[in-house]
Amino acid sequence: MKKKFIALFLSAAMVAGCLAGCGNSKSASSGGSSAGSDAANTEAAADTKDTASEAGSDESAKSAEELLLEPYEEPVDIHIVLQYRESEDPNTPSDCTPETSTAVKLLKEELNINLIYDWIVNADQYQEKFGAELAAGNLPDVFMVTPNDFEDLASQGGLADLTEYYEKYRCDDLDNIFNYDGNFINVAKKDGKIYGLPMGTDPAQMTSQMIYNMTQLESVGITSVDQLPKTIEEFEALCDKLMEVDYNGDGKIGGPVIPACKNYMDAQLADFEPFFHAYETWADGWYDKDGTLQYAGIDEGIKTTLTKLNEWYNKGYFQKDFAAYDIWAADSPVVNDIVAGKYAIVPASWWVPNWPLNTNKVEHPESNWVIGPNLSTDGKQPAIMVDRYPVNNFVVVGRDCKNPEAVFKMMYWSLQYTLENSNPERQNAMTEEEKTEWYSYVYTWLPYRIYSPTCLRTNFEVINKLAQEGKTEITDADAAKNNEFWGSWASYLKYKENPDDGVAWGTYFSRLAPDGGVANMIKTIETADIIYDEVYITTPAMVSRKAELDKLRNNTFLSMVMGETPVSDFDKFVAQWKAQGGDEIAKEVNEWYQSNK
Amino acid sequence: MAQQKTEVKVKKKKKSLYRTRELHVMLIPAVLFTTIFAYLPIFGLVMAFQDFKPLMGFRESPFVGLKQFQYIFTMPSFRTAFVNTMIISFFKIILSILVPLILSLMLNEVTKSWFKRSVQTIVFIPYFFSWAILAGMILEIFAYDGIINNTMMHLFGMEPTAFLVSNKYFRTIIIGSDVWKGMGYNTVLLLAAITNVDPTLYEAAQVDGAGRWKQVLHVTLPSILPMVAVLTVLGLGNILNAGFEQILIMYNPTVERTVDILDTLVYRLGMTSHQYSAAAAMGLFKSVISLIFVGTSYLILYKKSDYRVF
Repeated sequence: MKKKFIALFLSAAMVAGCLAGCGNSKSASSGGSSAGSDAANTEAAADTKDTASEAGSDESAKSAEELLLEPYEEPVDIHIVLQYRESEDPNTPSDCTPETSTAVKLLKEELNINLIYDWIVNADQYQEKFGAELAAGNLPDVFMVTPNDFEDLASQGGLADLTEYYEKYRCDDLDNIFNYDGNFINVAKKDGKIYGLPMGTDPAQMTSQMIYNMTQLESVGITSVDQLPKTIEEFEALCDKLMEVDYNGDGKIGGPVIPACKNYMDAQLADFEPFFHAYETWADGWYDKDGTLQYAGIDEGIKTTLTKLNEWYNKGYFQKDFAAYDIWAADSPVVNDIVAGKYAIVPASWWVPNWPLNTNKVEHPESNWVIGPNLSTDGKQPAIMVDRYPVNNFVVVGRDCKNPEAVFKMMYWSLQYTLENSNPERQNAMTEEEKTEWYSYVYTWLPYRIYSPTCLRTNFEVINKLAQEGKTEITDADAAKNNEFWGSWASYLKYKENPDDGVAWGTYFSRLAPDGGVANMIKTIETADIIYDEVYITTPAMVSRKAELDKLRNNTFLSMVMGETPVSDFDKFVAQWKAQGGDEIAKEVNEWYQSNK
Repeated sequence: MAQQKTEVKVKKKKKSLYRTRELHVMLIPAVLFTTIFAYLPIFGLVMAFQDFKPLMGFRESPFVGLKQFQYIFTMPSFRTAFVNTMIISFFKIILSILVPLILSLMLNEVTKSWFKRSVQTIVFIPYFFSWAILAGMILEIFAYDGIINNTMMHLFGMEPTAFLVSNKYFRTIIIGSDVWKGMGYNTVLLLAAITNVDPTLYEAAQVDGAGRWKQVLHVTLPSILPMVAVLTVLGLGNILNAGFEQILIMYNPTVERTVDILDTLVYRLGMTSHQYSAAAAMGLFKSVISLIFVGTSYLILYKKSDYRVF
């Protein structure tokens, strides 16, 4: 479940940072370490060009920040691979490719690092390609892996030990990313050594939302937000009405009225999560029940959810062959339909307004997307399940990499580059050429992220406070201490200036609007009863069995939704799940849980 | 005397080898190809008996005996995949001979040679396209809002069917499209065999009063039977290859129950789940079964009709 949204969380979360920018919050995010370090850094960088040969001797005298910006004397090759997704920034020049992107160019110029893409494949093919390369013993130098693969690779001795470099280059700016609370880095430790840099997200981002297009809903008599459905029953009544009218003006009546896709479990867009959540059911996760960990994906309650979904499928709410379409495939028809305004209802999560709804808004400015109440059976906020420790990925270094410290340098460089260039003032002063260079910096094409897990909520609160005070010009003192702040601030200004701009709306509505994505996410996590998914480790049985078990679960649920298998066979599925390794995993996680309590 | 004879023999052999040297040179690429892609990988099968970790290599990965085989045989998806493989390839083998046979017999009756040739070419064309292209087209055609559903709806007022996620139809689509893609090749082979039939046999049959139909039944069919037999034996060798590339590109989770074959399962196990050893074990199992099939069918053919393929 984690595997896919991880990337999405991070990618969507970072957009503001890259779209518009984040000023000189470096001093802010680095806390006490460096008020005037900008100047110091540039000087240091200039200095070391001359004295690089002696770098070894006077290293101890330099701060971590200085060391991080020191260019290599000899060119250093860093081999990377890419899970390709198109740039989220519509301004990225169409002829810009990963190889010609700004990061590749500037890392060479400023740090003497040659970033080499060994291979590039589309996101939906990545896992297979990586598996094939791994079988041949090929590992990239710097790459991101799922917790599962992290465990697998570390146990085979495939990852470089980063402990020494972590200590050497430790600074607040970087700790904000992979050790935001002073403990987070521990999840990447094995026998006291650090084998990766954990990438996390705010657990609240796991919540789901329902988004509606009010313009289209007028055709069934819904004119205000409080008329939107709160319970599953009301939701069903709404869908029934939509089935009978041509709400989207395509000349057809009848379904489908809810987008759905092959990745119905974890897409966070056009998936079934809001409906699972409405019934307080989850497809994945281990929660504590009377002291023992239970797997949520085999709970009895799921039967009710599946029965309802099957009913809806039979009524034609979903496209009959939805399971044939992968939402991450290039040019996915599901996404195209959403963009084209075919659906008035979009099951989603907080980032969806920023993509693909922003594109819809650009093409159909009349669309009026609002976030409806979280669905439930009785109109009250259902309990939610969130991760105890939200590890999504690890940035790791392959064992054959000769310069493992390069990963710290690259991350720090990216952070500095983003901070400097996303500043609204700096952007206004940019020449055309500089702008092209900035737009050609595509963070999703890099094998790491520089995202601070706590920034979404902080920025939402700080900027809304500033907005209430009516401020449009602020200083460093007003700014929140994280690297996404200036980007969010700029998107707020852009939206205020022109609320009809679909792109500005998308960013603003997903993360800042008082009734937007992040707002709803915070409200949900603050009002709901919380059940924790306790397991953030990967056990040996998970490495070998989990993929097939997930597949079994996904296929079974899907086949039940589509009526191929009766829901009454759920018990058979549970028995099969246990026999195929589920019991083994349960035993392992419980042993771990008891010993770590 | 005896010695002289053998010398002559050796000389003759040498001479004939020399005479056919061009042919042997032409054989080199094929030999290289099979060595590299068929014989060398055999050593990799050792991983089926290991708990293979790619980064530790063959030497350091621990041996676990038959544990991987035990694991795959208890996998429910393995059973489904095995049955699916048999069903799909059985129909593919039968139809990929039957359809071209009928087609070539019909084409043989066509007297206009331009028509015959253009049909041959048109039928042959899909053979040259890769599945990556054809699968895209086929999926588009059978989509819920695709051509087939639209035509059915407009002409007969039928409700559209979700072919692509239907366990009822999808296997048929897989088999049908594969037969369609490959039929040109076998048609050409069979047509060639038909043209080689001695025309005097037809004349004799005519004298005996056989009509067109009887000629086909008693002259053409028996004459091309050896070719049909060869094609069948070659097909049986592939009984556990039910068309990996095609299915990998075309299938989706919903229809996995009916079209998941051993190869796609091996691919998922190995490439997606990184369980290389289990995948290798399954591959080895597949090879052994295939060997038995080819061996038996070859033996039967050899005993019954005294025909040798190799």
